[in-house]
Formats: sequence, structure tokens, C-alpha cells
Amino acid sequence: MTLKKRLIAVLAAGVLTASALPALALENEFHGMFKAFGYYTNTYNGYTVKGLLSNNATASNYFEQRARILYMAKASDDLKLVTQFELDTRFGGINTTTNPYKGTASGNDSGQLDADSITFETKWVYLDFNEPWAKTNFKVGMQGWKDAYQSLFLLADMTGLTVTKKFGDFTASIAGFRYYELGSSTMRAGHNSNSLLAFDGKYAFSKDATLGLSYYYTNNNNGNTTAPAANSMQMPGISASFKFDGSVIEPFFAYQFGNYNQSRNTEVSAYLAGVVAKAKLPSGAFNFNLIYLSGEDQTPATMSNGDVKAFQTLGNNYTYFNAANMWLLIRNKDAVNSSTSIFGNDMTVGGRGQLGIYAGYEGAVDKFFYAANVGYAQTAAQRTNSGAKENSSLGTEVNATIGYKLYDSLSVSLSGAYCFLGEGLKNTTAAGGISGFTGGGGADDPFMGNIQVSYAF
Amino acid sequence: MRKAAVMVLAAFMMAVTVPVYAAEMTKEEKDQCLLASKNCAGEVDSLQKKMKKLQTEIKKGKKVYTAEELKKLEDKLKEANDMLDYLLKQP
Repeated sequence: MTLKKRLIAVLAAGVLTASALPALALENEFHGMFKAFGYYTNTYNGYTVKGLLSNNATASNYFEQRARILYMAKASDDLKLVTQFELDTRFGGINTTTNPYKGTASGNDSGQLDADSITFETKWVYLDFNEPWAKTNFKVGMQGWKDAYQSLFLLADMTGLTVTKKFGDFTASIAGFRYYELGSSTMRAGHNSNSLLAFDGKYAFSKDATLGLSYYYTNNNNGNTTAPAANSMQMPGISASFKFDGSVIEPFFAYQFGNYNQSRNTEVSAYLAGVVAKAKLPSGAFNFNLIYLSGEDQTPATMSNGDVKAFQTLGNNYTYFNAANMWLLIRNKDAVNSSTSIFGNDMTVGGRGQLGIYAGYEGAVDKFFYAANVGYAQTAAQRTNSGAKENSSLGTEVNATIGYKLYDSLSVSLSGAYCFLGEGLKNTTAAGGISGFTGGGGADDPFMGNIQVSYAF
Repeated sequence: MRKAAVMVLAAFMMAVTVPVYAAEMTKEEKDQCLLASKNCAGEVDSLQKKMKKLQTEIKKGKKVYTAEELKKLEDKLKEANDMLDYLLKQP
């Protein structure tokens, strides 16, 4: 072969190889949502604080909007960068330094005249990849995580690592997060931090029956100044899910133990139990939910030598119970910026615990959808204030929603909710009102009405 | 031989370098992308559309897909559903 022929052969082989290689294309995937709300209510005011309860409660009116933008840079099904950002705005802004809002120190947002302030929040920034040998999945970075207990313990975006591996019908997941690092620039890192370690295992007996086991460990080596209140706590638990003919029932139980306050020699001994059920009917679905969070009849922070029986969370605003479909007793799943409840999202009512029963019905006719719900809540433990025993009754809520789907991705809905306040929230503490939560003597029943526009893509 | 090799080479060069155009419009057709933001090049599915497509494919069942592929499609449907839930229902 002459030199020229060899050259041509090499060039041809090179071109053949180049055309056979897979293109290193990147799939850019965008998703997101937008919601706008208008509220008329005598208990909420647009801040993420406890709903206002009082006698002669006048009504607030406020408006807010939220957008979430999700962008994924997808190299393949095995490798992608996931990012999500959130833009929250209250119409007119929030201009006060006493209620800092969503991380902006001045408490400002862009709802003010000329919309120049900041509303941009980070939610997710993580790398999601499967290692190529055993196909173990890794998520590294800032990501969302929720517990196996309907988020009654924790649902939050946190920085850390999640490793998930499937072994046939068994899926195991281990996650580690550091959600507070409070050391200064002159201190060693990791000694003033709060962390969560979580093991979750789920076994699928069949397509319709799964059993989950979990173990969570939280560590607060910052000395009780930030969440959780307990110094270090362990939380084993069990959950299950059974589906039949479109209906589902999910019972769960978790126990908490560990060191509550070392210097006061107190230990955590608390539990959570519940069941979430949904029955499919020809015209819609009926749901029934029951939860019990154990409570403490003394103030945990001032107790000495003993067991603290109050169910622990990492903080009020990091807990949810979406299945309840409430608007006042528990924040609603659809709520955005100011999502709160008349307890300020504290489902433990200051550590008193909760027995809650929530039920409802939802359905759809063509492009219309509707729902009606009722819920009752009371504390699990009663404290005594200056000789007056607290009344356990918190209230009974009724609510309804009706909506219309303008497009597959856009809906408009109206919701209304009314809560018949329990004696624990409408009396003075001297007459059995719950300290820190009651609206005082003769507090009006809270109500709320809103209109919602919701777009997702 | 040299000529043949050059022709083969040229053919591959053409194949590699000529960009692929999506179905082009005829002179009589309306540009639906400009007119109604439909059928645009590089159009990305919304989560709802992606879920509908996945459900349609899953319904084809084992006649078209292997058990492993069906499982993969079901996982993708769950992932899209979870993502919609995360976006809309997690305050």
C-alpha cells in the first residue's frame, strides 16, 4: 500500500469512528409552577406566624404569589444536575425588620413599588448519578428530603448526601445532612453543627403491599440554641402501605428516645402513631386520617430528671400533614409563602402533643373539581397554669374547595374554611386556655377564604 | 481504488457535516410555532404531557416492551408524579 492509500485508509477509518460515537448531547429539562392567592381572613395576615386569634377579630386581606423554576441538565438517565429556585412575593412587600422574611435580613421582598428587591431563594442544587457498576444512586448537594411518616417529623431542603440501592424487591437508602453549621471563622468546623442521619428500608411484598423500616438520628451539639430541642435523639419506626382496587391504607408508628437536655438530666421518650386512608368511590374519593403525637404535661425546657414525653420535630415550619386537607388547624398542601396554621405550624402545640382526626371527600366532574373536609384536634397532654388545668379541645374545622381546570396545567379555585374554636383556644389561661396559644377570653372563631390560580408545567 | 476511497470518504464527510433539519414546512403551511407556540423545534414536554406519554407507553404493555423496560417507564412516571407533587404541594 502506498503512503497515499494508507493516509486515505486512516482518514476513512477516522471519519467512520467519529460518526459511530454517540453524541454527547445534553438534555435541558425545564419545569416549574406559578401560584397566586388572594386571601380574606380574620386570622392570617401574610406572615409565616401563628394565626391571630382574638375577640372582635377584624379581617385581613392580602395577596401573594410564588414561582418555582426547576432546571435539569441531563447528560443521560444516569447523570443529571438538578436545580430548583423559588421566587416568593407578597403584594406590597413585607417591610419590617421585626419579621425577617425568607432569608432577606431587612425583611423586604420585591412586592413593593418598582419591584426592585430580592425574592430569589435556592431550593435544590444537587448532582444525581448512578455509579455504572452496581447502579447505586447518589444525590450529592442541596436536596429535598422527607420522612416516612407523612412529614410529621421532617420535610425540608438540606445539604448532604443520599445513597439509594435496590436489592430486588428491597430498596435501601442512607442519607446524611448537616443543616446547621454555626462555628465562626476562628473555630474548627463540625463542632458546632446539627446533623441528621437517616436509614430507610422498604420491602415490596407485591405491587400493592410494602413495608418500611426506618431509623433517624439527630444530633444537636450546639447546646439547644437551635433545632432540634433535644441534644441527640434516635427515632426508629415502621410504616406500611396496602393498596386494593384503587384504595390505599397507610399505617405508621415511630418511637423517639435519647438525650433531651444533658445538664438537666432529661431524656426523650415520645412517639408518633397514625393512619392515612383513601377509599376510591365511583364518583370520587373519601379520605380518613388519624394521628397521635405524644405530649408532655410539663414544659420540657424547664423539666429536671425525667422523661420528656413530647414528640420532637426539627422545627415547626419543617413539618407537614398534607393528607389532612385542613386550612386552619393544619396548613394546607396548596398554601405558599405564608403557609401556616392557627398553631404556627406547631402540630405538637408547644409539646402538648395532638390527637387529630381528619376526613373528607373529593371528586371531579368534567373540568370541575371539588372537595369538602372536616377535622377535629385536641392536645394529648394537659398542663396546669397557676392552678388552672388547660382544656384539651383545640377546635373543629370545616372547609370546602371548588375549582375549574382552564387547561391541563392551569386551574382556578375557591376555598373557604371555618374553625369552631375549642375551649383551649377561646378562654383565658385562668379559665383553662392553653398558654401561648389561646386567643384569650371570647376569641372569635377563625375563618379564611381564598382564591387560587395555579399553573404547573 | 483511490477514487473509490475518496468517494466513500466524501460521502461520510457529507453525512457527518450536513445538519439534520426537522420536517420543513411547505410554502402553503402555516408556521404553528410563530402562530400558536406549537410544534416548535426543541419543544420540551410539560410534566403533565410527559406523564400522559408515559401512561400511553405503559398501556402498550409486554407486546411492545420488556418487563425491565416497563419497570423503567413506571419509575419515570413515578418520578414525574413526585416532581409535580414537590412543585405544587410542598409549601
